[in-house]
Amino acid sequence: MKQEMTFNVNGEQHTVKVDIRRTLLEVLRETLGLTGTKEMCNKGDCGGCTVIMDGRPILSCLTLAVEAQNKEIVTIEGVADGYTLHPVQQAFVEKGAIQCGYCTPGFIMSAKALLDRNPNPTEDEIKEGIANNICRCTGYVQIIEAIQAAAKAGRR
Amino acid sequence: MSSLIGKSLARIGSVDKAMGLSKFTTDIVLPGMLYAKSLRSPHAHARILNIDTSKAERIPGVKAVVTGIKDTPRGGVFGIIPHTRDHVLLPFDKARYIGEEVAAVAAIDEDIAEEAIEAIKVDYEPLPFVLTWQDAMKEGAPLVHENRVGNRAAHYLVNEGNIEEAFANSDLVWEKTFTCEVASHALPEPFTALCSFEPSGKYNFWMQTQCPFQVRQGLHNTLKVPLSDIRLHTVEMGGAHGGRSDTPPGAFIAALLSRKAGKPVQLKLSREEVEDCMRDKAAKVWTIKIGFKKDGTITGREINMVLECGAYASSAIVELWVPLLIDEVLWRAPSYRYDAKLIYTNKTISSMMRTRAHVGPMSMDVAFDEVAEKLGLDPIKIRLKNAILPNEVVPSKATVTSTGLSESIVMAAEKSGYKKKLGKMGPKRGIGIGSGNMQSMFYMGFRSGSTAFIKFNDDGSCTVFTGNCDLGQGNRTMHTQITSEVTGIPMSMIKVCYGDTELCYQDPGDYSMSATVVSANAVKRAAEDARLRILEIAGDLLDVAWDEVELRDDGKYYVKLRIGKGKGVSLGEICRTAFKRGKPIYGFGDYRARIDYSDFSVDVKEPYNEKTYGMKVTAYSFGTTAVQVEVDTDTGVVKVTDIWAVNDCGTVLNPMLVIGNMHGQLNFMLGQGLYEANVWDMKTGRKLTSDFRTYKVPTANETPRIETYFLNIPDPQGPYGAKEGSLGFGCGLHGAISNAIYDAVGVRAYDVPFKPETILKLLKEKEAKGAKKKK
Repeated sequence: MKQEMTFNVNGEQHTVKVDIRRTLLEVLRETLGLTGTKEMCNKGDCGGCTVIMDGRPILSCLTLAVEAQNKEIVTIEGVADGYTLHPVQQAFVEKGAIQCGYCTPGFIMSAKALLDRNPNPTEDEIKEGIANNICRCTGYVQIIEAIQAAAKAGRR
Repeated sequence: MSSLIGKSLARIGSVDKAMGLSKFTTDIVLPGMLYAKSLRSPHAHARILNIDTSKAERIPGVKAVVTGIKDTPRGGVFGIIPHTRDHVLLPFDKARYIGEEVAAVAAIDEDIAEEAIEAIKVDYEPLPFVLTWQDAMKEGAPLVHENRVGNRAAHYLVNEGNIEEAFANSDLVWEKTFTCEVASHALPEPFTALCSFEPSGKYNFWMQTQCPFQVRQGLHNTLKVPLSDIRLHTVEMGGAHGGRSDTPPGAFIAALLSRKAGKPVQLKLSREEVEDCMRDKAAKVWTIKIGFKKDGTITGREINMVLECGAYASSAIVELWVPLLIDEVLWRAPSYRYDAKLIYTNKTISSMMRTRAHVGPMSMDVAFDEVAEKLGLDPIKIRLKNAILPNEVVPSKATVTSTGLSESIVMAAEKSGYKKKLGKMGPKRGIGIGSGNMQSMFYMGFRSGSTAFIKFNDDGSCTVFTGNCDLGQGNRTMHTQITSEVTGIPMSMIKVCYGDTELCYQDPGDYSMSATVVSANAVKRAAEDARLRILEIAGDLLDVAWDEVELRDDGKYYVKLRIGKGKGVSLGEICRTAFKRGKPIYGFGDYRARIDYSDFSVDVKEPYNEKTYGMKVTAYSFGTTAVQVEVDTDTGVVKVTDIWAVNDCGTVLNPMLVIGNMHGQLNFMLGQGLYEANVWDMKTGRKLTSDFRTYKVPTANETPRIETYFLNIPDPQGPYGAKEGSLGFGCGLHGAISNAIYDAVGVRAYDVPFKPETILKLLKEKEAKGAKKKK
């Protein structure tokens, strides 16, 4: 069964007809072509598909698309200002926090959501903020350093 | 211009990745693309009697159905060396593990493909199966492959000196058995193959692989078409770590479906399919016997290893050799015997993994600590007494061209405060040390060489073509950095085209850590070749001899060649002049590893003949880690709190990137050292750990405090003296943890991972022994 829904993604209003069984992840990737949000486990264990909905980080693989009705969604494609990187993105690049890059969008969304609500987190708060995200390349150290650097940049 | 070597440079490609704009295989959609699903065996071992696909074929939206019986070209068998060609990628005789592909469907959407899969009827004759190497080696055990006696996939033997005599002449002979369980790569990006068949006969692939040319070879052998009809396109890749080294059945199946349907076909695996049906790391049993003199000198050692590869040998065959390469170049042994067997079972296929070498180094570091205690020796001195030195020849007749092993032991001990802390850290806290190493490349005949090419544009910008690929560790950055260093062209004017089998020359790929020594050396030679051509024309244009000209970036948009003040020409002008002369600027470079072919044979027979000796590797990396642990004696949980890691990776090309790769290796090693292990239902052969909920990997919360150090000892073979820098240094971590556990609570753990239940059991045994003594 298909249902018409309206939601705001990265500042743009979209009205789409979606199968009510489809997840937000599927609709973002397949209907809107926003492939920056990644599928890793598709069952809420890895954080790879994290997006921000009405200011809160959510797992788009565990969210039905229709739950986003009238909501504001920010995906990784909506974080930078044109080609000017957001401080979190800039710090990830500069600190070497990106290796294969597949988990990166999820980490950046979790980190952005963390800094939006807590601009000055401790190291433990940073670890807690990304504890739901799995990375197999970096060992997390440079990711934590990047989030610390982004927080510092935000304070300036 | 100051040198770029040793500068911390951001990874090329990071900005696109940070913006979510990089294209991974799973992101690529082609016009008219179909979606595929595989039907998988529910039996661990079963003969395939008949497959009825008629009902599936009639479902509207189904465009192609393939089975092994109807569609697999006969004689097309995959195996990375001729001896282990055992894998028909879509089988027609039997299924050898739960999850093996037996049929596949391509349809206009995933739901229809799923429905069609369920409509296929397969008649199986279930067969008895084996799930452990112990059972597989028993007489009369069911055979996974009928032609492999005792389920033995391969056997490798090195026997040098006289091991029995060495033991007889020793003051102490130490023997122990170490094990490690089957671990998962748990790669972020689910395996996906997209194949688009062209009626001319060409197969275009987009898929994750760390060695495109090896995969192309496997597809060539199984699809039975010319190499030029198989093109693997460049893609970004969500993790590899050794797990994307083989030709996967999914690529072969997508090719069959695409040819049949006449449309592009995407075959994407679910997380469960990835974990059940792609690759694991082989379980290992390592029994080691070492002879020592009173002063701690090793007289000889004997190793018996059994490696369990699952249903097919795949690249686990390499894992049979690598522990030898690792062990023999770490610690001296005048007499040496290494006997390794690769055994089939009806389980998920095992392959290479970046942590591959951990059991061997662990056994040696535990031995040094135990023997030092028994003989009253200093644990550091006993290591230094036996550590291999530069230019030593090891039992298999290879020469170690550079090693900083001894220096790394001394530095790790010093930085961690090892001597002051050992035995004095207080209750339940301990310190330990462990060394490791890794080969930089692995001999694979002519396929272990790399050829690079650089093409110049008329503005002076250029593109480097290399068959090497970039898994995220930063190979693109390394190739760009080296080209810039050689030619003086700014990095922003250099692009790298990598891993495309149609555009690039053959390269081993990221196979056995060959990127730095093999691929980057080829790129360096190509850049040097281009530099000479540039200099020649520059000399002409400036009317001086070519060796009076120098190349450097003057900080502007272009590069100038200057002699004296103000005199110069732009690189663009040089390139345009070259075009006008009909001799465009290019660079061509080739690197073949320094291998003593006369003494070495990879003509692998069963059992291996003893001529498999000689130089198989160009350079080895080394390093030592010291760790501090806390052991919770109520729960048995071991927590690693601090790591000091010393890396002998030759010259450090790009410290920030190497440090990041080091963190990654330590993280992988930590997970597998403390909790990562797969579990099977022994009644059915079904894997029970097929997702991140049941197979736990480390998160940010488990990250210890890490200090990293470099020795910066240049290697004579590596580009600018660099060698493998991400893995070898950390392969001693499990030995370090085992030793630290002993220092903390006085129990010895020999089996990886060091699970809480194991530690609790050991603590209870220790307590019981203590109680007995008191009585």
